[in-house]
Amino acid sequence: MADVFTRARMNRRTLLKGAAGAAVLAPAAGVLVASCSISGDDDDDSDSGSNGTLPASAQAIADARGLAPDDITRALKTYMPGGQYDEFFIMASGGHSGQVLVIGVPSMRLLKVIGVFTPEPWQGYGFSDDTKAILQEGAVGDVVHTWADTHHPGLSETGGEYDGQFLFINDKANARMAVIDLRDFETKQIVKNPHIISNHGGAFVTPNTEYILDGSQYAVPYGWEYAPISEYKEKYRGAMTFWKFDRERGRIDKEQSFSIELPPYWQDLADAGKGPSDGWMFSNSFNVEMSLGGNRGDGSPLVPPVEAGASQRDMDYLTMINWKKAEELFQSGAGEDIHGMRLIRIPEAVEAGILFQFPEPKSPHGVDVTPDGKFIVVAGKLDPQVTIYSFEKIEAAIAAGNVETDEFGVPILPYEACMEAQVELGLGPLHTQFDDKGYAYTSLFLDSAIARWKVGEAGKPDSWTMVDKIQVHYNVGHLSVCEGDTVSPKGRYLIALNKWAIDRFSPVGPLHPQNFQLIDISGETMDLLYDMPIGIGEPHYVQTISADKVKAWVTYPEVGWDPIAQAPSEVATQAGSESIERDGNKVTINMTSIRSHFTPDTVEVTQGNEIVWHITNIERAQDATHGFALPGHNLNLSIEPGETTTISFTADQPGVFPFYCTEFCSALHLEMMGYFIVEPK
Amino acid sequence: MVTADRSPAMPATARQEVGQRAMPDIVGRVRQYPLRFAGLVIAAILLIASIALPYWSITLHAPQYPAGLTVDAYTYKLTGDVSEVDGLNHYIGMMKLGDAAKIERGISRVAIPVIALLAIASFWVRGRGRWLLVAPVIIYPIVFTVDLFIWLYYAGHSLDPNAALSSSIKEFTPRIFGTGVIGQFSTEAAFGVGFYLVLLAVALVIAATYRKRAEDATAR
Repeated sequence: MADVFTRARMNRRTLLKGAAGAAVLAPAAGVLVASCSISGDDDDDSDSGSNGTLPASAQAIADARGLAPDDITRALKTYMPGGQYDEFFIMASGGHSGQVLVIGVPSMRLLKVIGVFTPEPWQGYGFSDDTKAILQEGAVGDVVHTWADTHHPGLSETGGEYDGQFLFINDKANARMAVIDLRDFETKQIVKNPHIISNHGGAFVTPNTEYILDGSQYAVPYGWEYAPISEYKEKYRGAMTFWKFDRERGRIDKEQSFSIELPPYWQDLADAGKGPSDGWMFSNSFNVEMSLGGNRGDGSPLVPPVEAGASQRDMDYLTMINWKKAEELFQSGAGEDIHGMRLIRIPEAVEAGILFQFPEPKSPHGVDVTPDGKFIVVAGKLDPQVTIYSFEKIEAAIAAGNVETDEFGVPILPYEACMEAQVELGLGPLHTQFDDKGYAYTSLFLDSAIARWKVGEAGKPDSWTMVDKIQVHYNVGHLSVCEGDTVSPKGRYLIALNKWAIDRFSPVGPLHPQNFQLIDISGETMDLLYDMPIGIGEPHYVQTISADKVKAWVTYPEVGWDPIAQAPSEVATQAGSESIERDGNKVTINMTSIRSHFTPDTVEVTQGNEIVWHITNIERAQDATHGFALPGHNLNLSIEPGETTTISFTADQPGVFPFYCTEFCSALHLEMMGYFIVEPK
Repeated sequence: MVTADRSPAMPATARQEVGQRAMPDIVGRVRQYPLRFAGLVIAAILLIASIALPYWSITLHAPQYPAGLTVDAYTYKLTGDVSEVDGLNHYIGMMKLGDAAKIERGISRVAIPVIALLAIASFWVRGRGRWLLVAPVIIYPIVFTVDLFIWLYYAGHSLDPNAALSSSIKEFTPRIFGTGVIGQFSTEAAFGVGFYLVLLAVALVIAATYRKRAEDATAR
């Protein structure tokens, strides 16, 4: 088939005009098979496709768009008729939107936008009492922050494999971490890191989701304290935070979480070990030069900005921490309380033998552990090759002892003792993931390309070789292979997350969309299938999970469900027991919604009343969601079938407020309304 | 008596004497007409088993319900998409399904075993009186069907005049069997396995009782 296509391509015009005859559409198999010669004549055009040709109607489209046979195959590979589900979900960072995007693969259909750090009106996220409380929990200082620089979604794992239960995502700007429950795809918790101000090395999980890793980005005095920049080496620090995850409760347990102090280098990406390296975690750092810029705009001569100063030395350091021993240390009471969370200082960690560094080519970005856990792949932004370290060698280097330390007392293992191999891939390598055939894939930012290379064997430097490379469009950051950072990658597809789209889509103003590109990696060579514009932010990273691992509810399990507690609500109202209770100044409304009415539908209160308004959607039909908008109160709710939600406020504004359903629920949707009447005092 | 029955050596005449001496000759009669007895017992078992199975089902199809909405009627309960169907029915002002046939559903789990036992008891009744005892079983499926029809008629003819769609939906009787149309819904109604078990039981009871007449005549 490939041969025919290659030949066909050389003579595309002939093929499209005449022998398009050459192809048969086989939808059931999802493939296009070329079956006859390319020298047919024009008479074949009228062929219906019954004897080995593209149907005339399909041929007309191909002609009009100038599609090559390969393009038609690509189109079929991503085409999923309505009602046919995708094989994989992409869980994508929503970038600056502070949200998470859920996208189907291979169709690249956008399935959901989950409100996380940012209020999301459609879902009522950040408007109901309980979701307001989640944003409040993630407040920075006293301020509820309503945006985030979401970077790295991390799926919960069991035994090193995605288990489809939870999704975590970090906010780089304010070092926050969020928990999303994948039963209802809704955010349940946001925690603010009390030690660090910005993060980058998260959310990455340990193989059984014991901890969620959260590494600092820019060094600061811990917890918003002041120290002049002249005291950088003394007072500024990095940290690696281990958020303890309580799977039973579906929440991060702050009481059982802790940080390890790190030198004031800037930590970057991180990854947990697996297999033989389970128990350890790895984090790149950069700017070991501790360059701080220093151009104060006061007329003094310019000094090199950070970008230059931080790139002077040939080597930065990779940090590794034994988190299992760190946990023991924490449980034995080590560390000191800083802003309500324990932090283990460098000397204590070094003394316990849980903190090491080893050199890596300068300005590294991604650090990725191979599926078997034996090797650690580091991509240096300014180095044309990836460097592979052997965990076995690292262990030997640690056992050998007598290592040097940096000026903060952290041991630095010898580079030569830990390094296994290097593979030259191209310019600007950033991130690496793996497939099920023994290949690794590395994004090349400067080359705007993805390199496929062979994961070699220990002791055989020549066995690590690049085998294929494909152009992407443009400036690729992260990439994701299906389950490609777990112990059992699934291969099949790769998603390239391109920062620039330039000319790939119709112009929509100076702020261009981002570009997700879907690449088929199942064949001998990689094949670019589809460009998907992302018009909501810059998604840094995605993880791709087999769709059948995610067991999402289609309605809440029973009528009167509290989605935050994921249990029957204590304030649920069942059909027939609706009421308005008045107790002094407090008015409690127990309301139900069902197509096409709210009960009660007239709520009369007096100015100054304290209102507690519970609404239960008593529907059991899929998709029979009711919205609830209350004008003048900045309020919209989404009450999904079975859900009970609550809003509380003071009725300080007298007047008449028609509330109504904001989901087009039924033919009489417009009639689904009522009056909230506030009588002046 | 049991011992006597089990003795292969005892002559038939002796056995008859023993049987005649026993107050009602319960076992002897069973031995005499085992097929008839078995027919009645099986009929009773089928009747009692039918309680656990749906007698009648209705499925509603509409574009926005790709899987359809199904309500299964048992003799004592309604299962399936009852609340969803009730929710839709409120637009046309139809009564809630659960408000129909409350008494029938309340007594069925006692009444059915009772009529089944009466049918078995008929086995020992000589003469035409036995028909009285099997009559409840024989008329049971007719009673069920008529009752169901009456309730369907009532539900479709007691629509709330204040309902949203009262002006566009006229009074109607939902189909008891086969397909119908109401609004954007097409309905499919059919009797269920439970009902067919009852019909089978009725056939068995009639067969067992009818044959008995000729035999009784000769016995007399």
